[in-house]
Amino acid sequence: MNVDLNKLVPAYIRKFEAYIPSKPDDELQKLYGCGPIIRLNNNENPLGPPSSAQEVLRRFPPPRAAVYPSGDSFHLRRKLAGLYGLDPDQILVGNGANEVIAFVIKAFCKEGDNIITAEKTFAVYEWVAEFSGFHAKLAPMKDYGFDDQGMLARIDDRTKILFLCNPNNPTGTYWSEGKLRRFLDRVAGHRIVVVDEAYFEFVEQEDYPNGIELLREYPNLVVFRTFSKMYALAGLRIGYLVGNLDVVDIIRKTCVVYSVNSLAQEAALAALDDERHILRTRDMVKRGKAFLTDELTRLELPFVLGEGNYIMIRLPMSDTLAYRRLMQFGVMIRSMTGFRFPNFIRVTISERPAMEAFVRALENILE
Amino acid sequence: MTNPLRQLRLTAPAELDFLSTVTSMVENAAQTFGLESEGSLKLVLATEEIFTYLCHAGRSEDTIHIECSDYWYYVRVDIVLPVQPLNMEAFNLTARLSPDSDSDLKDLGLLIAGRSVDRLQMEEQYPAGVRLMLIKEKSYPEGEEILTSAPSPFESYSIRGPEPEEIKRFASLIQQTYDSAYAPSCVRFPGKMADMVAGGEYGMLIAVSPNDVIGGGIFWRYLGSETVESFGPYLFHQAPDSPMAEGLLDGCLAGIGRSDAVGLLSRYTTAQLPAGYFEALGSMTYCLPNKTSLSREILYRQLKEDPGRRVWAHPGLKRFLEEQYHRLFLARDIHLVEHQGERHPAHSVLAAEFDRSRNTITLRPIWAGTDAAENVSRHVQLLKKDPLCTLSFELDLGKAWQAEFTNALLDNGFVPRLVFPHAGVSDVVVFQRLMEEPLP
Repeated sequence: MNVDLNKLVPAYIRKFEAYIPSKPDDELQKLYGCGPIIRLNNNENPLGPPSSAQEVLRRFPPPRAAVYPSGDSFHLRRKLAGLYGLDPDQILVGNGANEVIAFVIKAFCKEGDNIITAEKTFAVYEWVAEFSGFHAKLAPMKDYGFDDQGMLARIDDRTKILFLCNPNNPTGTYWSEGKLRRFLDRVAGHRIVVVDEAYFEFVEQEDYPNGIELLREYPNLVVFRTFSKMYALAGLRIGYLVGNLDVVDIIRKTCVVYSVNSLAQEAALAALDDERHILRTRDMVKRGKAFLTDELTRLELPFVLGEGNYIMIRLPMSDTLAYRRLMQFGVMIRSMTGFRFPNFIRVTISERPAMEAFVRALENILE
Repeated sequence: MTNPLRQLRLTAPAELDFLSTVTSMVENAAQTFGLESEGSLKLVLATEEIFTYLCHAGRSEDTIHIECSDYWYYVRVDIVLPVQPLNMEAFNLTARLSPDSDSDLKDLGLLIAGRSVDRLQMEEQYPAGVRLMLIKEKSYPEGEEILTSAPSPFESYSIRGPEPEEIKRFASLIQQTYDSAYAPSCVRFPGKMADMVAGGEYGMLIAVSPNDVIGGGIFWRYLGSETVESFGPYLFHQAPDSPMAEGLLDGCLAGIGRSDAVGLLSRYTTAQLPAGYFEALGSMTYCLPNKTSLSREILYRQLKEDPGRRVWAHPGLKRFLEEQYHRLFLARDIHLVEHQGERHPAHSVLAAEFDRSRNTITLRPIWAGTDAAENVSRHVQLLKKDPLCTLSFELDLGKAWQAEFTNALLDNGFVPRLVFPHAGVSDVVVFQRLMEEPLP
């Protein structure tokens, strides 16, 4: 018996290309004939989770794996609510921030609707919209940043959500509080505005806004945060959204309960207490950025460096070729053609030995 | 491939009694879709040959589906039929052929059809069947020279998609400014270019001054779903160090970077192609209608990070592959395939694709069999009489069974020329045989 996929599969799924994640390290080492892989491709935190979270992981009783987790991350939501002065029901926890992107789009969009985001930003807003059958309208960047006027100009009757990545991945640009407020004022509550703050904890600029503090004034605002980046729990997949109570009540209808495992919930809960981890990470990122700035200047390579734990470098060769060649030295970076920055690579800021290994490999392939 | 503007469908039993119904439908549809009389008749002839051939080769209980579609600048007839493994052999160009016998020419339906249209393609149809596609392009007038004074190099410009009239103007400027070796033949027909872009099969960007004078452009087309071919960038009277070419290429890459394409190919490169964007895969030799040949360097860049992969190959190809993969820095685990006495089907099947605009015939295996060597040899004997004198053969290294054709190809004068990463289930090796070369 055969399945007639031509009839069963919607056109918007058929045209969509599945994302192929990289192979596990052991497979990559075999294929590229290299030593241990230095992963500088996913903006992970090389310091690992905060020590309090590591303790939770070490002490997790194996028999607990047989028991379902809290379906709505009860304790974690209470803790976050206490930290931010919110009602716990204003928070939804997901299996990574990627999952909460899908919750929001499913909650507000129906056939014929669209979302708006930037042309050169984190791809998942665009992807989730497109493979859900909704149009993603893309505003070109302005000076490597989101263009507020370009986004506003694209709003039409069917626009439901505007996605802003603040700071932007991969360029590191950000909107100040004043600019974000002006944008929200122009939207005037007529559309949902999502501000993705995945790299919030890395930013120290005084004019950088805390989206959660704006929720009272702008009930159409939804803020994303994640435990994958600063808190280094990417392997456990946990992130959350925060919004106005009525808005979150609607999003909750599309939320998959029990999708966040017990270990992730407890590790995240513990991670929030470790302020020193944030300071150590920021210090490591600062030193890494200074080192790379010097080295890239010496190599006469243009780069784009802003907030966040990453840097974008322009190469005199195809970024996908650079990916393959750097892999032969065991260094894994992110090629940027898929972010619409051809011949750029994005490199995660890491500790000195990893940064030195990257520069050595880079010099080698540029010879 | 984009969606057709209009389409007609007909389902008929595989019986000759329905031949006139089928040909009438194709003729009427083709003329309604704008194909001129001569082109319509050629498409009808090709359809007639194939339908007749299938009635002879198939079973009367088989049902044949015929679709006639309007694709802006061409009309396409799709002939789809279910296939049992037992009668797959009939889809070889050379099936039922007894060499040197004129009486058997009636059995060369696929070959005759291939000579009547601009493109003939065959592919397996999911879940079980074969789809034959006959493509005949519409006629367009050649472009006329644009009388214009040479503009000064632009001080400022913007890059954007063109309006229909700008597409035609851009085509004419290419035709006037560049030698024919640097642009595909379609630039000679500006109206056709406009339809190619309007139909969605081609993408295009132009660079224009503040008062909309065209200073350059680039265009690209999808070759299947995973490979895009770019043409240009073309610049008109711009400074040699102008960043315009880079801007155009960046624009093209931004346009396809998040599509399902995995690779960008460039065969028509100009002197303005910015350095550092492409890798050289190798070169291919194309025979020209005047019996001369032209060697083209094939440039390529991946659009996605290469995940590394396993490929299947015959030992005879191992050294070539190792050299290519080493040169291209592609991580591949080469698994050798050898016949060790296991039972194989008796008859292999090859699909032939005719492309008149490029003077090429491309063979691809769709079924393995113990007669692979004889089958390849029969195809070479038959096709060397064809005026399309560039013969290529593509082996998909993701399908272990295709490795069995390697010896047959090497024994019949084919030479491996290059590896296209990810062009099939896995990488594809392209072999070439120039048809004036004698059989070994």
